[in-house]
Amino acid sequence: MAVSPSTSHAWYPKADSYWVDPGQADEYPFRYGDVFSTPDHPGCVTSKGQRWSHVIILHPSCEINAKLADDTAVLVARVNRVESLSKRQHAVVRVGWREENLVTKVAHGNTFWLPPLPSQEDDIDWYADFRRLVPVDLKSLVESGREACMTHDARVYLIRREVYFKYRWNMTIDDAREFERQRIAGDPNFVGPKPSWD
Amino acid sequence: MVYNSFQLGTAEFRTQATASKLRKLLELHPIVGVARYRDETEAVVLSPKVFESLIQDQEHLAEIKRTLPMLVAALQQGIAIPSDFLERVGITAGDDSWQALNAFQSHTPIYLSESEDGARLTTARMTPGEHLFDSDEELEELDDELTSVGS
Repeated sequence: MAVSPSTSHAWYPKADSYWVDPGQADEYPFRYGDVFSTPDHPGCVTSKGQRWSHVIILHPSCEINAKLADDTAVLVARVNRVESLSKRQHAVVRVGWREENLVTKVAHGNTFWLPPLPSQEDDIDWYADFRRLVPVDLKSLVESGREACMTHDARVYLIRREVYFKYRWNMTIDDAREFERQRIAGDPNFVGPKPSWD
Repeated sequence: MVYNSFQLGTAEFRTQATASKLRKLLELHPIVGVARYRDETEAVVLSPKVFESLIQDQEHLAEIKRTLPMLVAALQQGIAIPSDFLERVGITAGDDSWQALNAFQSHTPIYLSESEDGARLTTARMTPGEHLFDSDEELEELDDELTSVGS
């Protein structure tokens, strides 16, 4: 493994390492962590009936196989603007933790912070909400279009954060990366460029 | 003495000095200077809101003066200072843009010690096992035709 052990528990990688260059994104199949425009689905709306802006794939946990049927269920989570939250929560969501009386606590574990998407012209950042989940059919998701292809590096951070949210397991980022490295190495159906640390 | 305020002559002030007139005047101009001659302010009338804010600022300044030596000593010794204390004395990071925060959090070693609920976090070093191959076979539910995804 080329990556040295990290001593930090930082929840997020550097912003410029999140997205595959749009010019190379076609080499990567649709996969866990990719951000799509919101598909036409009745579940992808707010309680006030407003359509979500974007969604992120949370399942399947690997690439979406081309042989899957159009009605295959893909689990997506809502991707929302950080600016839509209360102002006092912006910084906390952007780092994923907060300090109270010298104790560093996980904060808003149901969120995963995202920098602007490559297709964006503005500077707006986002968060995925693991509590806003909808299974959508693969066909409508593909038709809505992929907006951003997540890098393998960033995907490991997403896995780690999601594992924390679901099970309250605080994996180190190195462990999450090593698990993913071994999973990819053993996956006979893996498609697309492999991570640099494979 | 320069005020970003309204100024009255003393004679004029006398005619305005009833409670109701003063209240109206201070609604329009929270700080009113009273001058016998131009540029010679003899008194300043403040709205209650401005007065309260001045008192608060004074208390804040007194707290900074009290705590500054302790803060400097703590910094010299490398002792951590709670962020709410820093906020109380008016020391904030300033730039909470996502660019600044992302750079900070991705470069600064952070050791998480508690969950959101205050439970202690434990971090175990894990040893990944050998890769397990998944069977491609899907569930065959006789009463449900929904296709499920295995991964």
